[in-house]
Amino acid sequence: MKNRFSLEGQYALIIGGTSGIGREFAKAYLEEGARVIIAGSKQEKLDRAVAELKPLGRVFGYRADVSDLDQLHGLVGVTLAHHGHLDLLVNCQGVTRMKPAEAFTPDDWSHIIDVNLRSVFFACTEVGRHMLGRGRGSIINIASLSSYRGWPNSAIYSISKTAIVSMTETLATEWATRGVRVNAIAPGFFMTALAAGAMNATRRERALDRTPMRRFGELDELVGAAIYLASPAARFVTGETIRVDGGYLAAGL
Amino acid sequence: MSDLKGKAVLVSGASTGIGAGAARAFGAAGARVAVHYNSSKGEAEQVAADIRSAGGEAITVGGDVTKHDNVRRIVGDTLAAFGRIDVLVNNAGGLVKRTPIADYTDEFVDRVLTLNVRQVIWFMTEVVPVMRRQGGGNIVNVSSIAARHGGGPGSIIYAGSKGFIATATRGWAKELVKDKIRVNAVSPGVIMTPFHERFSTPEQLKAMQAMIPMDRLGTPEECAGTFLYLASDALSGYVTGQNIEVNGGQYMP
Repeated sequence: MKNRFSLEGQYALIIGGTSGIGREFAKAYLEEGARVIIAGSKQEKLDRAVAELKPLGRVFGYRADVSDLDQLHGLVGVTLAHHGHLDLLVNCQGVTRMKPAEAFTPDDWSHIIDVNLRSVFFACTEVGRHMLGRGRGSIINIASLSSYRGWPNSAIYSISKTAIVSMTETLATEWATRGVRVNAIAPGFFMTALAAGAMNATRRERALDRTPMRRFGELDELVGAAIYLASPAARFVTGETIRVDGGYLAAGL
Repeated sequence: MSDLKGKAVLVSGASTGIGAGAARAFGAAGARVAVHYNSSKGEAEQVAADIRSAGGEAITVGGDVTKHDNVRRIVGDTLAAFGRIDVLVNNAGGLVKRTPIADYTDEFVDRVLTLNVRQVIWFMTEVVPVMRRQGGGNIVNVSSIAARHGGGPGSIIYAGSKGFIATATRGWAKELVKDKIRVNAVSPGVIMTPFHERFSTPEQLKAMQAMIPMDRLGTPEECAGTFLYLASDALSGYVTGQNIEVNGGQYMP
């Protein structure tokens, strides 16, 4: 049986691959036969993730705080020096702070935008240059339901995630004839550490009320989209954002 | 995608083009496929033969879907062969004729709406009770890039009918979520099929290609992976009410 979803022999860099969504993607990519390089800002977390993923296949970890562009540049350089090339880039890095819009400070802005937006853009372009040189590659960014709907108390996060959709579409357009596809995944509510920290009981209840499936997603329900977009199954798909949300965005109310 | 193995899949309009590509892909994934055709019996038999020679199971079911009785019979024949329908792919449809407003007739408009809207509704009313009895199922509709951009020359009624499919996909997804039936859609861009051989001149195709960032038309094979992704609970179990664009970047979310 021909497996359109195989990632056999692909080299993948997953930034933010040490926890949450990123670590789950790393697991799935390893199981699909890819060589996986994960990057994260905390050495201890990185070591733990690499140790945990090791039994699944060829996994490598590099410490880098990508909110610092020099470190991001170094990460891409070291990755290419050690592994020769990259076929896949997944940008899973993300942070949030929650406040009423009028309470946000310039420090909040930098904290969120530097990771969620600036580092993603420059990761795309740094790795993108390499992929364009080879004439092949696939990039996946992480958007959010807040890319499409207004959410209280998360103005800066929502702005960053809306910009991810725009970035994905722009880069997809620029690079479409040059073999590099750029897509995004917009997860609904998944109880990662980031989401769990950001949502109190009332907010969780409201989220479930608005999700037709009436449940949160399980992380392994998100990996299918990451495999699909990375694989030959999606080779005519670019600039698309796959919403994995239990029907949230299909619901009008 | 091993979870598609043994699943009973009915693909309408599966003798040529995108439907044939989807049917072959389901067959290669180990599903049992009902290959529906209207006039192209020979081609449908070939699709079924290809599936069988690859080790799969397939039947052909003929019938003009613009008659409700025929839809009933197509569903009945599929049930008689497989005993169940796990996946329904509502792929049948067509442009009928490129027609400007000045040439609209009631007969023309009825024909387009019956071929692209009414028959899909009939498939829903026939198949949903079956899936409810089974305790679940999966429906993949076929929308079109025309649903987003309003259609090319003389294809506005067709475009509107595909807009209906995109909208109803979201609505049906919500209505059927409690029945464990997911409803999503594939929205192809310009895919090289008998559809365009019949309705688009080489000049029109060239103009369309110029609007596609990948600078080429797609193939039915390049749509097939998206059908498998949406039909597989393992890959997309938390995805419902979504339209996935397969269009080389021509129109983004």
